Amino acid sequence: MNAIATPAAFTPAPGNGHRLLEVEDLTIRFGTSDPVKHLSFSIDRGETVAVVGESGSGKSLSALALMRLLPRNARIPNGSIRFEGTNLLDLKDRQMRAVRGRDIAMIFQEPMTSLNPVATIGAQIVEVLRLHEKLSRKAARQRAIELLDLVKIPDPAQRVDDYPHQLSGGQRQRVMIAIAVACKPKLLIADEPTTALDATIQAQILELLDELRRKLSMGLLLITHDLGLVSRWSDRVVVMYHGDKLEELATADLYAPERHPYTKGLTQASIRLDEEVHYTAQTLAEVKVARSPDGRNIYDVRQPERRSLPTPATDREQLLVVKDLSVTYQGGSKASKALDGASLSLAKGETLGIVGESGSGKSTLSKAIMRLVNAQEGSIVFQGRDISRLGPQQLQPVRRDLQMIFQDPFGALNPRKTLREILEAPLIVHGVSNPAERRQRLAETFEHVRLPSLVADRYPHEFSGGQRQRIGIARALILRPSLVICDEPVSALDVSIQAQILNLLVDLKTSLGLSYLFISHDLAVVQYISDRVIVMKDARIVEESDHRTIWRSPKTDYTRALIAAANDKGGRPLAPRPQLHAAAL
Amino acid sequence: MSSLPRIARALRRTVLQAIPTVIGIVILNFFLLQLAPGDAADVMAGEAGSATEETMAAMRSRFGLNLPMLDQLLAYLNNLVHFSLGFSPRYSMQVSDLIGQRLPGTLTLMAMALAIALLIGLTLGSLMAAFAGRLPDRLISIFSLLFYSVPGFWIGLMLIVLFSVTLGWLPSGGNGTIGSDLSGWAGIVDKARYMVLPATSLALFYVAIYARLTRAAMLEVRNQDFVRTAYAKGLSPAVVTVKHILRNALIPITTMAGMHVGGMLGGAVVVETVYSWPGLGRLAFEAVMGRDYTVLLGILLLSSLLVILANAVVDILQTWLDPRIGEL
Repeated sequence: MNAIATPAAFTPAPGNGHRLLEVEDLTIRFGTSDPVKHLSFSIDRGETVAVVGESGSGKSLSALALMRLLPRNARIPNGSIRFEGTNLLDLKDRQMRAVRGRDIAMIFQEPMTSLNPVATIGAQIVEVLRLHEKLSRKAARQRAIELLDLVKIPDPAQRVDDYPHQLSGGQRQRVMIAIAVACKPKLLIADEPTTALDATIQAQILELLDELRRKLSMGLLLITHDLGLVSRWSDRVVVMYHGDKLEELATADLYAPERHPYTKGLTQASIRLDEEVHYTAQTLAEVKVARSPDGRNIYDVRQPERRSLPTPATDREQLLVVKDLSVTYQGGSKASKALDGASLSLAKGETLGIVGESGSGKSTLSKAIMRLVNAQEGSIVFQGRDISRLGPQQLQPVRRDLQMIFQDPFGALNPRKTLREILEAPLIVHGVSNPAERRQRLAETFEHVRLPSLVADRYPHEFSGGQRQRIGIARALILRPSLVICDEPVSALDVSIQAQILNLLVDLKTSLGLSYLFISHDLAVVQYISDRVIVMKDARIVEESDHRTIWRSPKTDYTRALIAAANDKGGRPLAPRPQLHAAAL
Repeated sequence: MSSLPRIARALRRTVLQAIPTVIGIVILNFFLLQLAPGDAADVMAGEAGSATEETMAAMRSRFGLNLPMLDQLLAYLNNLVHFSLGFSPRYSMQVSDLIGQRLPGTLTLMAMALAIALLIGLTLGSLMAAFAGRLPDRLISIFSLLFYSVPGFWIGLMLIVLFSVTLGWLPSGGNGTIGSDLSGWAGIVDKARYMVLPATSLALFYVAIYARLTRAAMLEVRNQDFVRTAYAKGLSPAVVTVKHILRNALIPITTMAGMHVGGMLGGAVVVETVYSWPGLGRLAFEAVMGRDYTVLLGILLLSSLLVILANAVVDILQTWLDPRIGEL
């Protein structure tokens, strides 16, 4: 165990004339708790600084504090935020409004909801230009079109009158960037700007941000949880955990050996496609943070022992065979094909990964197999029986063997029910009427997902995201299914939690003999857990191969593009990781 | 994409849906009214006090009340097809003329009440949202609860007691100074003075609803991401509230306002009686008491048309307010 409590010191060198922003000793307080404690960092002109941390680290709150946009019940008891020498915390509201949008601009994580749905994108850009640059309506509109061109929206003169819902997620984020850079700010804060976007779009958005940073010589503060992104796009990195700044370092040193254990844990727990890690070869490192008796955090990185896997039999029984499955959604006057002639098969004990970008039909495929949506054509043979035409009554016993784990650990559990009620409900539905037996099954399942069984009478909101995902897994497993469909099970989780859940899923698969249909947009995760992989695009399956072949010699251009986007988030070349795992397989 | 084609589509859809709705309403109303005991002849004979079997039979055959029910329905539908609402035995007038006299009064009263309700309701709701959880919010919410729970006729009477009897500021009933020949601006002011109290008592119930609805809608919109974007642009809280929050909060409120037109027509009966306002509501009331079903059917048909029209207006307003509606 390598434990440390004092963050490594790092002093940036550049002269003070370049200093754009200087945050010193900043504390943010809600009631009695301090989600950000004594934070200090600085940004120079034209520099990109990344603040990295998992949820609850206080990174987003710190960004909001720079704009003085903290929620009303937050206070700043001490500290200063100096922007070009002026302490922003001393400004009057009116003066601060003159800084927002003109000198410091911000873009947010959710491009889908960050634009006003009832105003045209042009109007939303014009608004900020009219406010700060006092342009006439006509001149502002002209500038808005130029800005849309700058952020590479095709046909800007036409699109300027579009409403946000007529644009894709990536385009909306471009509009957000256009609004942010409209008044040529000196500092741009990007709070998880690409988290909600597909991999291919992510790279484009970051390229755009970096290009604009150079063109307008802005300082860029990049708030993110994605280490891969940080290592390619930033000059310096600030690592935060639970409101504390753990260390500040030059990006090139991110993978150097003598880092803070938490940073090291993060870099090891996050899996990269080009490292070809596979579950048969190794487990994922888990970061554990414990509180020592004197109130300090003790950070520990641990790699669980390699598990013994049963040797895969050569010809195994087919559990699921799907043939020519098609789903068409009727929306108003026109029908849209959400799934077009999909065929796949899954053997007992196998994990089939499904990758594709949003809208490619992966979720529709899983819902169709679960019979949550009806397929118009095709067959689903599960355990030797075609379930594609069964009525609700006949489906009931089948559902016991066919369970699902959902993406959102917060939305998937009924907040008004205790864990016991959530977990026993499926047992009651499936006729386990003996309370003693239900209790025993509950205890057994809790043990499987490594939750203490004394938490059974608590409510979901008392648990963290990772724990809730364990509950979601427990809910699926309590019926002892043979096939579990995992729909983006780790996408909403932090890197360190993601590693724990993936390790858990692999362990459960081996010990309970499960088969998984594993859906994800994250190629590295699918690479780690899958035996075979399917690639989907525009409602069709475009490629299928075993887990080695598909990454090394992809057959279609689309798969190549996906791999390229995942491997290369653009920007600077990635520093190789020293002393890490021996290459898998 | 401009909003005109979307609005045209919304309008066409509404008209197509309205036709079967209206036919259904007419037939349903006809049979419902047949369920009520007695007819116009009974009431008129009772009021005259000296009718014989023969005169009653004569009256019934003159008004077509002795025909089988289906024939009566067909005769009424035949009238409708010829754009006639029939003839009122009691008033000895064409029903359309009778309604034509009363309709403008009720429409202005309703329009006024709706305008007052929306104006005050939106203002109070915005205030409540701005001060959510603090003293102004609590106070206004107590008042809105009061308006919501107190019956309209009682509020009407109390307003008369306060503003007409005690203070003497406003007239207590009627729709204009009798015998006055005011015209132009003075005439409008005179009419408005008579309308203030009835419109207010009709509106207060809806003020309460809109205030609470606005508060809830604004609190919901206020927490959305695009509001944070608006603040990050450097806009002042007032501009953010009006241009970004209220604009989005209006969408659910217009839906409710459209649904309330029908309810207001019902409330108008009470208010028109309290303020002796010559409107449709009172005509409907008198028609019920006199078993004058032709008049009643005419009013019901007109009311349903009014509700359909109001909904169409709301649909168009929604399409205009929310660009996401009507695409496909």
